[in-house]
Amino acid sequence: MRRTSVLFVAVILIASLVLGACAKATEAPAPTEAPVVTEAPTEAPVVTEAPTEAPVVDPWAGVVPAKEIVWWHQHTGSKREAAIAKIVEDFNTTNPYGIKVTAEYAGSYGDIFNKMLPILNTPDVPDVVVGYQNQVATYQLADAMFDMNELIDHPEYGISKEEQDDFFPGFFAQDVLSLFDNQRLGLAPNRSMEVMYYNMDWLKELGYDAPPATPEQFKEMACKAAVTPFSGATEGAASPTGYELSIDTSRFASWTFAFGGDMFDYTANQFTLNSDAAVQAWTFIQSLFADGCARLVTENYGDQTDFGNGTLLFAVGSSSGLLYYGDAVSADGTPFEWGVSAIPHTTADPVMNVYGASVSIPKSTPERELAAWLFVKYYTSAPVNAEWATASGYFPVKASIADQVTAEFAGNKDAYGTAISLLPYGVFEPPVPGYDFVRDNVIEVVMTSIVDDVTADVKALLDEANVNANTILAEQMAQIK
Amino acid sequence: MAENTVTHQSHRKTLKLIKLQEQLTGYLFILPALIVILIFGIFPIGYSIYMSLFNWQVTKGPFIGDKNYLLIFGSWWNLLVLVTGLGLIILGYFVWGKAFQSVSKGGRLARIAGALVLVLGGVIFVTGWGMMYETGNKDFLNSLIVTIYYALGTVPAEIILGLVLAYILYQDIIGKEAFRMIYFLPYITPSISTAVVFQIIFSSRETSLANRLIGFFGIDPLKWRFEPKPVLRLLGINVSGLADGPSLALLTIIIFGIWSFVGYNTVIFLSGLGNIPKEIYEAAEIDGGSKWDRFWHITIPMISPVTFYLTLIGFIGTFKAFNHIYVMRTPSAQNSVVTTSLLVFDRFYKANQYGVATAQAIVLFIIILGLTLAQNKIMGERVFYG
Amino acid sequence: MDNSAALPTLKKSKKEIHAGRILGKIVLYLILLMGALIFIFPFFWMISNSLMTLGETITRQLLPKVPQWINYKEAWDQANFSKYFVNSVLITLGTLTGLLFTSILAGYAFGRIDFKGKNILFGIFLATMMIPESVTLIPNYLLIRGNVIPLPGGTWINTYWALTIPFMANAFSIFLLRQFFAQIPDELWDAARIDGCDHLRFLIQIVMPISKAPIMTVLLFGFTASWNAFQWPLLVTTRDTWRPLMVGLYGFVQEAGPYTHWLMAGAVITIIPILIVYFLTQKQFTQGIATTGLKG
Repeated sequence: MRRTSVLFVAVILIASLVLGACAKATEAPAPTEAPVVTEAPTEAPVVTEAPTEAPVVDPWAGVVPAKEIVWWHQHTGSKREAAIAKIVEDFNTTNPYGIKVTAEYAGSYGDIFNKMLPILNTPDVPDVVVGYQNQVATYQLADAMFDMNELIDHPEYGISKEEQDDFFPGFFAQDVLSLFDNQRLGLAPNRSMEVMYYNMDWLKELGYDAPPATPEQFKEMACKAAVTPFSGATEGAASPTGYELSIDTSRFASWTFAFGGDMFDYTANQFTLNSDAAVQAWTFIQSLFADGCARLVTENYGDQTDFGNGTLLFAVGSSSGLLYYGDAVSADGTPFEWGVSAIPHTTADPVMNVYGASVSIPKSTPERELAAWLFVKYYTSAPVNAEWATASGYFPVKASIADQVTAEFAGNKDAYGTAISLLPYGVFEPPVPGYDFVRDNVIEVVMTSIVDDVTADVKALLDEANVNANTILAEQMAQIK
Repeated sequence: MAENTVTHQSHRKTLKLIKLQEQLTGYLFILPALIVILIFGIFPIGYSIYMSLFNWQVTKGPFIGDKNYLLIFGSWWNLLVLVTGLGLIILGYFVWGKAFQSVSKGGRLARIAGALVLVLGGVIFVTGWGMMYETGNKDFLNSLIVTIYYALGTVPAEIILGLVLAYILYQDIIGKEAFRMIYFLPYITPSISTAVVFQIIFSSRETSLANRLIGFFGIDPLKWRFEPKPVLRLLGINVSGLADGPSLALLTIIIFGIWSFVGYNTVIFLSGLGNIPKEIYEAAEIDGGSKWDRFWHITIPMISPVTFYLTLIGFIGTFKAFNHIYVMRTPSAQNSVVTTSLLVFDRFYKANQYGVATAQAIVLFIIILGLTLAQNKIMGERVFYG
Repeated sequence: MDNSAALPTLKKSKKEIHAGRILGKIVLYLILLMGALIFIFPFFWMISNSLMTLGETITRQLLPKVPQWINYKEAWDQANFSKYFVNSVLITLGTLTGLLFTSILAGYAFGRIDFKGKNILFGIFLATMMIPESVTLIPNYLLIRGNVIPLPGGTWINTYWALTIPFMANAFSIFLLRQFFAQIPDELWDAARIDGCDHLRFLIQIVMPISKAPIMTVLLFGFTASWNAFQWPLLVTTRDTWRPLMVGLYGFVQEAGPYTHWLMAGAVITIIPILIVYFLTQKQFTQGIATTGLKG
């Protein structure tokens, strides 16, 4: 019996090795990029560049856009799907090149990412794909994405300077990746932003007439709320508290930004999780926990539930929850006045964490890339963007239509308007490969360490986290050939 | 006489032919399954081994041979020490077992020798483990321990509860159909929904159901899923090292696992119980003996093929369990809930380091394989195929 | 022997036995009920929440004031369930047919036929179940895309085959049936063989009818696995053509997020077909199979 067992183990292993080595899938065919000129002349590390020397030969002259292209997205829900169908239909019927777009739901962002990785640099890639910047950065480790800088200033196919400037600057810059020579690997069709939700009626009861603008004010109000329940709180719901923190890297970013720091140094291309601002921010948060004014979110969307029940004074979260917060507040029949404002900041101006997926173009053939670009240009143009923002609930990316979209918002218009007015102050999280891993395994871990033990040394913890994050980044970047 | 030889020869030839036909039938019968399993079951293993030999992140990098594996062990020497320790333990156990069977003085000596070998093996094993911990991947080794806690926490409970429930529900009980369905419900409900429910029941709020329940017994609210401290420590027992035991967060997940899978075991045990001929019970009743005797001496042996099956796949399943643990994981619980399959997932899908992740997966695979072989050896001989 | 003295003691002990039995049964029922409560509570919570208004779910009520049946309609529409429902049924039917075919044959062979290399092959089958799914997804994805071995039709992405064939055989089902088939008394086979029966006829005419319980079990679990699968279908479909129900639910869960009442309604919808299959298969169980055919 023993001999047969050893034998069969050996047989399995050998058989599998043989089968495995026969796999042809690993060799990616060389990208079929014909034009030699791949960089636009003069790369300044600034976002938009006007073409300085016009190359003698335009690589895009004579390229006929492909007739059929495919767009992978992750939107579900009847409203969004209807909006996408309309946008695609409008493009298909009105574009002068005869391009037909097919939009396909390809799963969540993570699923799309997993589907893309094995097919990068093959003809099977979709022509337009949604993705977060760190995902696109991972694609670019394999040099698989089209640099939109080639076409954005093109005389015939490009976007006019006016329209480029119409983009909110933070959004526009987010897709230019410093790690990859400032190539533009995406364009933003929608964004969300971290905002602070506050219960205005409760604030009034506590003796304040406006939401906090600085962290000190925030702490004062939160600590008062923890001992002074809201009169409109739901019977038998949880005990009151000032702030509930959910362990999510976006909260780490928001608070760090609000204290004037950043998570990443874009010239040195290194994480800066232990910057002075971050240490200050997280010492502040730790003190909230130490003084009993804050606690951790207990289950998914627990903070939204508690906010709706009137037992939570402040919540920090994505603006995409605006509609839900509204529903939560009015759902039990006792609505109260509420709003959103900037994260309390030590800086002169507000600093807001903006995020969202962009649309990117995987490398394929010039015809397909051009057609894809034309659709992306259409999708992000102001009138289409207004349609999309209204239907999807995301923020628009163009300043000129902000008012129009606010007027059409189905929920709390004041809150939406306030949020939109904060869009010019957008800052974003690092668009680097491996960021998902750093989020879950480094940053979220250090966040719990900081708040679970209120005597922990914040600087030491952040120092260690920073080392880990940079190690991971180095491993990822070692992949570039 | 000549005639007899002729018939004898042709008789032997027919026997050979029959045997050949048997073999052919056997191969033919398994052929459809073989094709599917070879392609979709074996190929991924082979491909994973292939990937693990390269510096593969997103795209295939250069061939690095065993480097990914060394990341886990530290060095091959470490692994050798560990395996030697394991081997000695097995040898010691073997000698000990054999020695029990003989009564002579030699037997007693052998027993002492066996015990010594066992202890020696244990020491070497722990040394090897320590060496790996120093130079290898701590996270991976910790995840193995967490996985073992999870497996030991869920499988025996599921089997015992499953058998007890099946036995009870096999009797004439009013509403047994309804009961059977109720106990089966958790298994068929998609884990994305049951996880939401459990998150709310075991929430760390004071008003959560779990906290209200223990409040009944005068215990303060606990953090459940968010508690990385070992349960033993919470109870006041301070041990360290391997004996620490699972954390409260892991225990919560274990409860979730047991709740989800007991129904599966119950249904299969019910099938098995139905297979036991009633005549055997009737004969035993006539011979006298209590219900307990009948259970112990008839039911348990007769159902041993099913028990064997459920134990084996129970351990295989828990070692690679993913969904139920993933949906209940919180960052606050830190590493205490990260089983090896979760580790592999993170490495594969979030860090996209395919080479490292597949190496870890292959090591896990070999461990599961070894475990299954061991179980087969230990339990397989006790199975009674009526 | 003086029977008159023995009789009263006999009567008394009979009463004691009877009382003891009733007490025992009461305790049994109590335990069963308590256990059932624990098991069904989360499910009850799901149904209850699926019938509540959003407000009631937020304020964590136990029961809805007025059952909101409309939640089901809304969940159904929002998740496009009607489109995906038929797909799920067809996919599951196809997978199950294949699964029963391969498992019964192979389980029989491993349990009752002696052929060279039987243990090795069985071990190989079982080994395929020992590798974590997270790493098998990508190689199988590459297989389905046609990058490894040439597939008829080029690529199987978005086809019916990609969703069914990989699941038409699995070692656990084979293992389970092997255990049951091995238990069948050899005398039955010897008798059949003398009658000139070959393995196939024995399997179909004798073994299968008395193995309804394990076969129904394989069917039930195969159905559940196929019905609840979403990871793989997500990976191999980019279009709606063959997308199954669970993918719709999954996408719905991503969107609906905190809208617990819709979430639960969607989940309950997906459970109902499994419950139906459960009822159908369990009826086979309780018809006391094993003893028939053995007497004689």
